[in-house]
Amino acid sequence: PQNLAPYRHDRCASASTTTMRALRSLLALGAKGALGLATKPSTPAAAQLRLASEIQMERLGGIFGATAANGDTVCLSGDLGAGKTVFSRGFLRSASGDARMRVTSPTYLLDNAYDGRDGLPGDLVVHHMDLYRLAGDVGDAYVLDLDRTLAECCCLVEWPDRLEKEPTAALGVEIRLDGACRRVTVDASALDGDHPWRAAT
Amino acid sequence: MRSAIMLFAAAARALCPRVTQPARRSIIRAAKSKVNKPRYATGMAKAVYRGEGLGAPSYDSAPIALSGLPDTTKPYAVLGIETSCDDTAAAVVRSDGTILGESVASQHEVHAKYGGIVPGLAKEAHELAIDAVVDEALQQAHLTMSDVGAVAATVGPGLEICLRVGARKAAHLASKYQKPFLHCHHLEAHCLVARLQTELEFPYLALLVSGGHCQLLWVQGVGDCSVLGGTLDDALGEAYDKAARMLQLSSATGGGPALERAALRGNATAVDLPVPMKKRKDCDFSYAGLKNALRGRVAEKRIERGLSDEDTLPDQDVYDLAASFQSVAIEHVEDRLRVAFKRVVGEAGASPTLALVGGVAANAELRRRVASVASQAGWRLVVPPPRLCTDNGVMVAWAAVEKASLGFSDEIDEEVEVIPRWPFREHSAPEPVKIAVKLASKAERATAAA
Repeated sequence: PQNLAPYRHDRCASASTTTMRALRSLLALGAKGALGLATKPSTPAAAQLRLASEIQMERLGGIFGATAANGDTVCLSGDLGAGKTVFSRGFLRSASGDARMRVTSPTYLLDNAYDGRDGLPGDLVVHHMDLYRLAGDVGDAYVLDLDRTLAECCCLVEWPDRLEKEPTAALGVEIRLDGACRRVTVDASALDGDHPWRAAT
Repeated sequence: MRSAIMLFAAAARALCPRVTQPARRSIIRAAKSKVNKPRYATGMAKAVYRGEGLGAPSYDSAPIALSGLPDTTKPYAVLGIETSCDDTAAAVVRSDGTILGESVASQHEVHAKYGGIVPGLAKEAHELAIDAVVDEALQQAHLTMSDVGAVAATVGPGLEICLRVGARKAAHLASKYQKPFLHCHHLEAHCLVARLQTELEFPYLALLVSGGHCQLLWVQGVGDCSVLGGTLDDALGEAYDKAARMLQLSSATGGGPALERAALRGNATAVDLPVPMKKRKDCDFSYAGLKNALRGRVAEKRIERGLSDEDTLPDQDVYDLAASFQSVAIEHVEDRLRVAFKRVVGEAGASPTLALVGGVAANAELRRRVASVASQAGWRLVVPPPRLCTDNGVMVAWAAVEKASLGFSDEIDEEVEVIPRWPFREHSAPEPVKIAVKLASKAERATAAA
């Protein structure tokens, strides 16, 4: 089912051609994976993109949000203002189908949880966490109930390097600033071979 | 009562037969509001004010004191416990508003003490912190649990595990010493603390600004707050903190105060930064764009001075950037306040008041400029002392006093259910009154223009 471009309001008019081609090839890869067609065994499970605007970052998040499930984890790394929360916003808006859903930064509140009340389907629960303020000691993991949350819910973890043990089996999204653009590296190599995010990458 | 309204409405209809439908409704609404004006005096039952449609609030139920009430004929003390996020806090407040004892423990202090290496210890550290903090508050008040009139705790919103520690401790104390137990809403407690040391009547506007929250709330009573607007991305305190990090400013008390101090020595017009959401005339906030713009200016300054990414900027540049950032951040707040004043002035009554609450209320420049905007618009400003603006137990105890004075208390359940997500409802603006205006004819307008 090709629901990889779920936005009702398409405001991507100013996207650069190269980047849109890159995004379309991502979608095409996703199609191939969903239809079960073989991808070459040497296809790397990582992709590099150059995004020119916030809207594109949101759409990138949306590609993965469409196939989110409980137990999935995304580790978002990047400096202040890189676009981690924008990615998460796209992810959640696509998962809930609500293009105007309010997704705020969890820096101070540490963990924002979204569930059926926000329009997420079925029993999908998404925890949007930001570990920026944490010193990285064990007590912080306890406070966020990380073991249970990572296992039972879909988690978007900003600043995962604050943890002693970064979550394994997670989609890695690294965002680097490049002038006014962003260079994003999506790495799905830690995921199982048949995970939809692997195909999407 | 209803017949009086019907008579009044009939009279209105009779006197002005051509009054249009919406205007007639507003006359009826005005009549009803005079007759059934909600009064939040002590002892008056108030369940939930729906505020929808026309007319009077609906009193769903009589006040329910599920665990009894303290003896309200004389002053009684309330123990309030607050553990919604980082800090663990407790306080003892008397029902007349006197603060008898208060104590706050920051989570990182506790973990530093225990080294944080042994896994199981983290849970005990939390529970030990709450015991220490409650004991200290009681000690300062020179009271024991048997002297306390009621126990209260924040049950939401916040982090589930943290909320549970405080709520269960309070429920345990309430059960052990047979005291009334009251649930409190963290953000509502922030808003109500403005009434602790100042004469402040309902309803009032509250600007809640902290690291985690940035909202404009219309506070009509206990259990009756509605949201006029909130942040779309970063809160004000968070924006300050991140800006401080970009400017490499830091201090023991956090990035925000460090940036405020740096801004004092800078020129607020030196750096050009965009005011967020200038075109949108609503009460929502957004600081992510400003954060990015600041980052751009910092990079430009670095290039201008011929510095690499790792070098620190010269002091005066940092001060100027800090001052400009603060000036624009506060201008955004001023814009939103002006919109909010217009939106609620109809419901505000004779002396409209704004309460500035939350951790960032400690910022002197914000207080000064908010005071100026408020007085220009004819609004009074109330600001609690800084230590009551950050997360604390006093606000929880006071919110409980307010709730108990209306006759409510909650059941004592040692496995108390906390409410990590507990949003306020959105404020629904009253219908605009449509007035029929007779436009001048084309000819008249032409002659007038000539």
